[in-house]
Amino acid sequence: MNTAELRVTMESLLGSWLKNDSNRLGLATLLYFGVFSTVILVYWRKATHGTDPLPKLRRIAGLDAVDEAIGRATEMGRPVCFNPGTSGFSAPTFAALAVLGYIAGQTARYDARLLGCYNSPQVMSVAQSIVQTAYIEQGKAESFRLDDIRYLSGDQFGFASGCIGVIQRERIAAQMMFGNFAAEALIIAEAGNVAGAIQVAGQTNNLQTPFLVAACDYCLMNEELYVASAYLSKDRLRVGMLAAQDICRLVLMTIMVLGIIFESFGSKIVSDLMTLY
Amino acid sequence: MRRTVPLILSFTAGILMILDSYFKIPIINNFATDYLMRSISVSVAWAAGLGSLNLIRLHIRHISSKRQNYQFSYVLIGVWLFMLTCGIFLQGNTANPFYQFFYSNIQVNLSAAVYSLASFYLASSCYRAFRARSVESTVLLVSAAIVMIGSVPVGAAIWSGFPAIQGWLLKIVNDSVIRGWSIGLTLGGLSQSVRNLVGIERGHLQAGE
Repeated sequence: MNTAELRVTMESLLGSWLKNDSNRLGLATLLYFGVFSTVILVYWRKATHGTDPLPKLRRIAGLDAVDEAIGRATEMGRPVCFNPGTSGFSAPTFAALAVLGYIAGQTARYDARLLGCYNSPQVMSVAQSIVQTAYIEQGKAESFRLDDIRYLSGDQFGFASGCIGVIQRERIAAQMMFGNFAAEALIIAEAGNVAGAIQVAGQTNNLQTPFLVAACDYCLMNEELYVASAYLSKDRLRVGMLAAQDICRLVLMTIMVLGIIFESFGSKIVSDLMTLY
Repeated sequence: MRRTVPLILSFTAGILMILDSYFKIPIINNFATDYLMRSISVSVAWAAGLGSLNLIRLHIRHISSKRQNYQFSYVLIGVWLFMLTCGIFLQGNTANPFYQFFYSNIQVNLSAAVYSLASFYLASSCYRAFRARSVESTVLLVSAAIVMIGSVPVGAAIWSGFPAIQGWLLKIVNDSVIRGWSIGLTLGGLSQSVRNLVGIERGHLQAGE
């Protein structure tokens, strides 16, 4: 059976069930999602029930610098500023909020002041809860200041100018930029640099990475943001998830290499299978 | 309870959205469109109210305690009240010409002014970054210089090879790295989403574990 016949068979079998619209969601992505979820669940079980050692995480300088930056702010008696960028709830924001939990715990422990600048009121509300819980867990509930978690503006550049104001007025000693940033990234990072703050950035927008590399002291490279919570917490379950992610990456790389080889020899079998439905 | 209920809700909503994305199941498709998507709009509206309250409370405190530059808080609260009143009570709400006049002639221009700052910040950050302190930074410096020279007409006038090298750097080296990043980002995002969906990642529910 060639791929054209296979396509017709698949359409007759799944045509009434599977969506095939302009979102380009199809069988290949569904199968990949299924494989990915299965591998993750296997590693979840391995991490919770097994005793096998999980893979070691390589050192990420940007994440090691988080503690250094908080320590510096504590010594200087100036605040740490957390900035999750201009996205609402998305995968990078969830990753950033996990990092915020760690940062809030450390600032509470060392009695450093933690400021937060938010563009999304939804994220701000969740961030308030995270920071407050971290302070309570550290036994420093009285140090938590609700006014330090600030919604500045829903407008991109209104938010950027608000951040500049907070950074300069509060004379921050450290800035943590974790989340999803767009054109405001460089403006905020340079304002932090002018204030003399040590800056750690981690975001997922390819277009903004060069600006943050140039402007910040430490910069996580793209998907390193997604490993941040596992790296900082050293939690066995989260590290297991990273191992699962790498296995899936290996599967994807194998498919790509096979695709390159087959395409180079004039066969379209891999690309046809990937776009089967 | 504080964690379990949000976890159950997010898992259920997540699974329904996944089913809606891939499968033609009218009851789920309708539920996702009619209920879940609308509930997002409702929560965004409520959150906007929360954000405004947070902002106004902060600035009222600035005024009441006469903190440094508290006069600007009067301006912010005044403008906020003015635009809120116009947006709610004028005919056509935010589409009203009176509202649009202030939006187009103040808000848009102020945003553009702040955006234009980026060019100056870009120059200052590049000045710091483009220094040959190590092998990596030297590679960055040389490649950036070639791309800049190759992008302007004078580059081609100096040597016709500059635009070709610039094109090679952007299309071959840069694009392949960007695509590698994109694949990694997609996998990372997918992993983060699955972790959130099944409740392994709970950082957004409560700090620590």
